[in-house]
Amino acid sequence: MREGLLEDTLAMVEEISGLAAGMDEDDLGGAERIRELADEISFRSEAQGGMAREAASLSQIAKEMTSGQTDFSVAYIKMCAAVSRLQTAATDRERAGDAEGMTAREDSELSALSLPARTAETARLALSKSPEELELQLDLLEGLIQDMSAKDDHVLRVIKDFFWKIEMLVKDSGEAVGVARGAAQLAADTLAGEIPFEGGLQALRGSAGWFRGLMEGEFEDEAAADCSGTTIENAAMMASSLSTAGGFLEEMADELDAFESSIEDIGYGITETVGRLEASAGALEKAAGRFGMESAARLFAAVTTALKATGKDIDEKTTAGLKAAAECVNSILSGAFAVGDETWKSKADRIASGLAERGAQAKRPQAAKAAVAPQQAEQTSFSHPPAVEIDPSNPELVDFVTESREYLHASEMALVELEKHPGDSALINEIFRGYHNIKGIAGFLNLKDTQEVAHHAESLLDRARRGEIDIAGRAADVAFAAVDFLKEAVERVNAAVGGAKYETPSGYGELIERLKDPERSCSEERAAIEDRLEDKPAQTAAPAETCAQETKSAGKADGMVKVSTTRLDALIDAVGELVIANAMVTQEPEVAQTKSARLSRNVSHLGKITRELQELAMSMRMVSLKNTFQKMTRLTRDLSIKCGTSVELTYSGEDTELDRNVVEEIGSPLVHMVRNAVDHGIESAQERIAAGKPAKGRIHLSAAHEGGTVVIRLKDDGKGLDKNAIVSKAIAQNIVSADAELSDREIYSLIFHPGFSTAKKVTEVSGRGVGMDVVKRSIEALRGRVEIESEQGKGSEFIIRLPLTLAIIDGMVVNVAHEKYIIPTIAIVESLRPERGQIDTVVGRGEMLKVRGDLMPLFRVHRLFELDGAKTDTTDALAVIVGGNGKRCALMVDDLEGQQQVVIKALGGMFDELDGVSGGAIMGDGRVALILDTTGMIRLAHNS
Amino acid sequence: MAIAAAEEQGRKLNKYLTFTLGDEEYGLEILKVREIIGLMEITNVPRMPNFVRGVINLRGKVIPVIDLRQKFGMERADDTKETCIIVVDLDGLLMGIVVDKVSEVLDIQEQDIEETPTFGVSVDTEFIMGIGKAKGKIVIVLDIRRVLTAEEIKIISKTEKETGMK
Repeated sequence: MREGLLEDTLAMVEEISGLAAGMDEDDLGGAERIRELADEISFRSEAQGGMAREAASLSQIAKEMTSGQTDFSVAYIKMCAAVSRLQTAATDRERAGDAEGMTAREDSELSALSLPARTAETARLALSKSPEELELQLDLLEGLIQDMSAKDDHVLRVIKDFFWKIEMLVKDSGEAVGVARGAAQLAADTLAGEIPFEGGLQALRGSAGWFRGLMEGEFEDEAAADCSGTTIENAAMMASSLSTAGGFLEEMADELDAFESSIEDIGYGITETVGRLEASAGALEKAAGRFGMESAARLFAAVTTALKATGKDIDEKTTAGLKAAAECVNSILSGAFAVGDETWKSKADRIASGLAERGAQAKRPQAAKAAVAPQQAEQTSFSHPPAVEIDPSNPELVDFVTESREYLHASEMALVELEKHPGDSALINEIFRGYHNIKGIAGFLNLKDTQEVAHHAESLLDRARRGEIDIAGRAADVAFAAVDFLKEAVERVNAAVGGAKYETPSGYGELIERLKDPERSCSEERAAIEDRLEDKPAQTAAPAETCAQETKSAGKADGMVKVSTTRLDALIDAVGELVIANAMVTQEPEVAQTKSARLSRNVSHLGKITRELQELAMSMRMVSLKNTFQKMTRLTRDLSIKCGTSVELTYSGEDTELDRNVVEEIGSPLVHMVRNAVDHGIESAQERIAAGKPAKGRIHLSAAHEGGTVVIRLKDDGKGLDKNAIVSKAIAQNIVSADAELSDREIYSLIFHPGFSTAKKVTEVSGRGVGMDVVKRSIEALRGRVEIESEQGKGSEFIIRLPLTLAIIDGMVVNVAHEKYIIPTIAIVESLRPERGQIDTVVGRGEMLKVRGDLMPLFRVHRLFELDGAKTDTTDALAVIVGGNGKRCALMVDDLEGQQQVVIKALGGMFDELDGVSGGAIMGDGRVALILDTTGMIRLAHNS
Repeated sequence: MAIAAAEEQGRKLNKYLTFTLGDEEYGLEILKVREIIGLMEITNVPRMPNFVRGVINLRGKVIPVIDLRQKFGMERADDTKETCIIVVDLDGLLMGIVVDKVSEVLDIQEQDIEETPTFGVSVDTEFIMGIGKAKGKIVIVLDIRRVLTAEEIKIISKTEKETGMK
């Protein structure tokens, strides 16, 4: 009897699944029939647990559907899920019963597979099979959130991933996807620091909780259908509250930023901002209140009161209190305090009461200046640098060095700008701030000389700000001198940390005097500039610093971190490997031809993430050219003073990004070229006026992307190149023959000829050529090219084309004796299949290939590399013509396989001196292929 | 300094990874071993001495692979399922060595390592740190740093080139 019942029941299940599969939109009759059947099942198999429960839930859903309570399509998805759960339950039931029912089970499985809509399949996967998985994810997730008390990037990243996974799991359950996505975004924003940590964490916890609720309600509870409506509502609410919380916290952080910058202004005596400060404090108070941060609200209330009391006569201590308040709240927002840690509250209250006190006794105006004045008077007596003791073990020193470099760089750039826009108070403030900060830290570290210079420089700027002196001209020179002195001092401190003895840089007394009185005539100034110019290329070319500063200066805006380059390279290696591994998995026949929608979906998702990660990793190597260009501005300024010409360098496209290595290496050739342009390209003011040009020479530096390469142009409006002079000099030096016909481009490229540049006369006549061969070589070492365009009398343009990155090259994959090799595409001129008549054998000297009248040596790669099994018939093989170092030759290979971008890997170690191979590349199948070095091959051929 | 410390520890650890080449069992300080990987396709590097099998891709790093049999002048054996590559870390320089079979990690006390006899071993004694005895086995303890100095390989490859030219 029991068996009969089971059979019947299974038949009913089958009928249900058939109905569900064949259901049209708004097929209420079908839904009604399903409900009947489900009711029947739940009644019949009452004693049999799982099935009854599933049937009841199905019936509930069907009822909901027919009554129009829920949207039909939403209910349909749920129904499909319930049906498949019912099928699973039936199958289990059947297994428990006997083996006889196997056929029925298979049938039910089959019908499940034949469910027409893709949604049915995915919904089934998502809702019926994933509870365990979802529960596991949630357990882990909750544990993670629970354990994280302070901001932990790694954990946040993992949390983000979990929400991603959950999003995948709930793919088809409407709003849940939204919540999961929102939560993942929230985690990402918290990670990026866009949302303060504490708030972000709370919201994440809420999201996890919401999913917990959803799961318990929807996947386990029998009354699933009942609460589905509510959960969806909840989901929408949760999603919207998440974005509000995020947005709100962001707002608060912004307001806090404004508040802080107002405080800073007050620090510089700009009291007009007190009103703004008050407004900010008010807004922050409200915001904190709304978010339930009572202590913070109280704190800002105290701030407002204190500000009201002091008004414009705000004193230093109150400012310090304000700063403390801002910092305290900032640290709460950024998650420096553990969640639930109450200490910050007491700290906030302490600051609040301190502020209240200040407010009460604020009627004692005490200008900051007054405090500074006597100090200044005392210091005028200094002409010898104070003794400075440095404790190399002090870790603060390292921070001092990095921070000071950053401040000095910013100040220097602002100074250059200031000369163009004299009186720009924002710039003056920027410079002032740089000196001020250095003064502060140096004072703290007892670096008296640095402190003094910074202090006097600060005073100078202060006077400029008040309009007492004009910052352009002499004063700017002095300010530059101060920057240089401080730079030197900072570098010496850096050396001292490494164990060297610290000595105050020379010119200390002089500088102090000049800072005090910038108008004083200064004979040494020119000498100082000239000195600087002498070692300028080396300085400008200091690449690592460029990069570090770049990262640092951008750091303020974007919340950046410094990462060691080895780690970065390791990351890029790992990502590259991930891409290969991903390709191997995807191409695996079992995976590629799988019937499982879940697997193929997951694989494609993995692919997407992998690509994204690869792009990210590659972009991490990229650095903008801004720093390099800025340095050129400074260089031009110094050079034009030295040469007595008036030249202005402008630049554009400085945000163009290039591989870190390229940016590091491009500095010194650029310095060379800028020097040449200022030194020789631009005429003297008189000549310029005579030629009808503006007296001030112009050099424009630009960078832009052009089809996979970056093009840097250096254009001047000087006298241009004298073609005739170049040609006659080249003929005189036997570089070209007298009767050679040369195109303009060929003529200009003569100046890159080694040896040509040293001829002094040409330099004078043509105006170019100092070390241009060096320039060309270093650009070619970067796998770039340099071209010249020029018009006599109008100016010249140097065009440098650089690859985006050094790590990747375009290569031609060739086969030789079953081995794959890569020839860099840039070296390839053409490839062809030689015909019998094209090959001549020169006795004792090897083979020559004749191509359109040109004769060039033909080298067989397999012979050079001593490989067996290659094609030996030249007419069957391919000749790849490569040009290296002006010499052309043909390499004989078996086959061309195609062009491909490859990542270059150093072979390193014992292969360093290997001729003909410049590195290895990892191919799509994970194997290593060697990259051929064409010049090395030629050398190899000549030696053997 | 770190290397010295590691070396110090290695001596104290007295643990050796043992592997076989032909009929003999060799030992290698465990701290020098980075990992053991199965034999994969090795890209041949031209114009290298024959004991350099080539290079492999070790998760994005290209590292050289040495055939220890050939290095020790034994005859080349066919690769089997048990043939594998031991990746050793020599002061940060990674190198793979192809061995017939990896056996186990063995504790060999310092007092159980004897001076190298000048005969009876098929390997140049220069590479041998000593003969170890443990669990009734005789293990030839290699001084892997000596075996695999890049300098030496460079020199060898150069001299081979030169002699090849004559």
